[in-house]
Amino acid sequence: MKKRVIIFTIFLTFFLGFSHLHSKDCPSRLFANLKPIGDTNFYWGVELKSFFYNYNGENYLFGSISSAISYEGESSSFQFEGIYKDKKYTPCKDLPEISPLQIRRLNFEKYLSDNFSINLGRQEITVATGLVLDDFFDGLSFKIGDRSYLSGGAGVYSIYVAKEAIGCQKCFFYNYRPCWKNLVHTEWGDILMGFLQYNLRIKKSEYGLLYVRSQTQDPNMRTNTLSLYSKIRITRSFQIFSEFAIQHFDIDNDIAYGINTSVLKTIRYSSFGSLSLKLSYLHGSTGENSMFTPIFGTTYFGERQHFTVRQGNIYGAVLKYIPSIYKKSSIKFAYYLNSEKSAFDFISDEFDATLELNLDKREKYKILATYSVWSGVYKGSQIAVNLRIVF
Amino acid sequence: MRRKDFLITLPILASVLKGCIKKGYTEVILIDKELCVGCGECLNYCSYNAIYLPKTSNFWVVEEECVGCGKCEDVCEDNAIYVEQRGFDINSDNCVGCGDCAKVCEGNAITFDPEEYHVRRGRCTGCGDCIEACKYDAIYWAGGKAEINTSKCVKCGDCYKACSYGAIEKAEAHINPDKCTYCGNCYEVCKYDAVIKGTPAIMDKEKCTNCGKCYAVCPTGAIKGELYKATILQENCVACTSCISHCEFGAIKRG
Repeated sequence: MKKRVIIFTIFLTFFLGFSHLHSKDCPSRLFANLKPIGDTNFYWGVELKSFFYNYNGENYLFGSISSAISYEGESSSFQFEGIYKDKKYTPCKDLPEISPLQIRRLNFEKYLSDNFSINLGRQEITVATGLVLDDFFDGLSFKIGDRSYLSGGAGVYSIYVAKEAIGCQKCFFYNYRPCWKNLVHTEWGDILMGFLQYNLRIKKSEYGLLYVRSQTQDPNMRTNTLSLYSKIRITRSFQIFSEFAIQHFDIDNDIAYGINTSVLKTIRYSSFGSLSLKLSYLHGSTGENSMFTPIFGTTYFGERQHFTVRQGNIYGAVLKYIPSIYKKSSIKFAYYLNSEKSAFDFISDEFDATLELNLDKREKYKILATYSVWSGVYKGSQIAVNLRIVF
Repeated sequence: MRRKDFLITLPILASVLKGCIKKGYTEVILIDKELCVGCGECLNYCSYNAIYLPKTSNFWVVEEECVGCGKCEDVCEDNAIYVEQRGFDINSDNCVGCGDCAKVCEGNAITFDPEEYHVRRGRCTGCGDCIEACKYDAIYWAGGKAEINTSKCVKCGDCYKACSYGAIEKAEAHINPDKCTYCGNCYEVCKYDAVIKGTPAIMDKEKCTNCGKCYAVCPTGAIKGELYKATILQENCVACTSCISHCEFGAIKRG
């Protein structure tokens, strides 16, 4: 029986893989739960996901099946993931149809020494808070160092796999973000990127400097972005994250900047459970002619206020409780306020209540239910239920 | 029927044998009270009313003491015993490969695969959670990713639990069922609830014939009985030895 499942997985992976070089991102636990194939260094896994939404009284349904194979050797590794996504009753009417069969990962990493590795192919790169760099690209990257390291890379932005592209439920957002709507129409190869990063670790904290170059077909999006970031762990239960980025636009030498910062405090009681409070602040400035636009970044603010970085000021407060009687579950309440009052005031404020239930420690079986309500030009409410199973 | 059994049933020969007893030619037959389970099987083969058993024993399973090894199920010819999950097993999700179980295993039945902790570098994101979790400074940085110094690693499993990306491959115990003696030491010693005990045997009293085979093979003494022991009435015994050959427990012996 197990053999048949493995053969099916291998078949599915390659079938999905060769279909299309298109993919989109959804939160996944597939690679964290791969299983070995016999006594070899090969691993396999399958993930099923389903997203149900009731948005302003209308029902939407998304579903996906991902299949992965990886090789994890002493001096190299290889990752391959194919995905099939389908959707019913979606509101993404104005966006281009993308093939439901896509590749999410296809990369080969070689460890040239203990302290030097190179990675070739479709890969994911995340730096600091994700304000400037947190996405997939097709290309070559390297990492050199030990505790602190230098990394860099260059390649083509994988627009159809991009985290901010039309993935999962997030398409709602692009319906009222015209600039991103244009971006998802961009063809593969239209956006080239290069980055160089130095990450310094001192005790349990990280500090770093990041440079990202964006070379696009659209001259308005040709930018140089410099980011200074820190992830400071004062104690295990008190952490501060901050990122400050300056963006330069080639077309008119305009300058804009973005800030993403948050403070996280956790209080733990053995009999009560743990209570976390996260306060955050996000700001994107507007230059004379341009506005802060980090194409390769993602900053998650709420279910609906899922902006990369927008102009104005967004304040967020999240309270999360994990009960001691069942630590695999949590209850979260979040409130986000956008103080900017302008024509772009799509969402003035948002409240989310989320119940998360994991049936196992590795989060292979997950149920996530969220109720959101927001005000602004597009005011409304939403109930979302996500299910995930990893085999 | 064996030739000897056949001969004993012949009335003429029986009287000859009785004569032999009186002349002191016979052996003495004894019952080992430790081995006798009081099943009463020997009664069926004694033609001389030479075995006394006040009552046939009856048996039941004490669930708390049963480890579900399944030995009783194997010997029960009447299919009166059912074990859903047999013997000891390792819950790989909980096992951290600490090795405590192997130290107390009486049958050397526990092996480890993998034997050491290892970082799957392809999955490591360099977040540092494992390094923070390790109390023994056994994890170090290499190329912005984590690496484990196996000489310092005590296999506590903290790094494995801290890693959200499945990048730590932990050591893991496995039980060889052929070598397991069902001593239960591994179950007792495991701090991580990683040793799973088999489900207790279920005995169907309707089908049970009280043969006692399950009682005799149970390694943990989980099968209890209302026990009666057989006794040889020497005045009736002609030492035909038929009872010896029919006692499956080896409880009847020549004196």
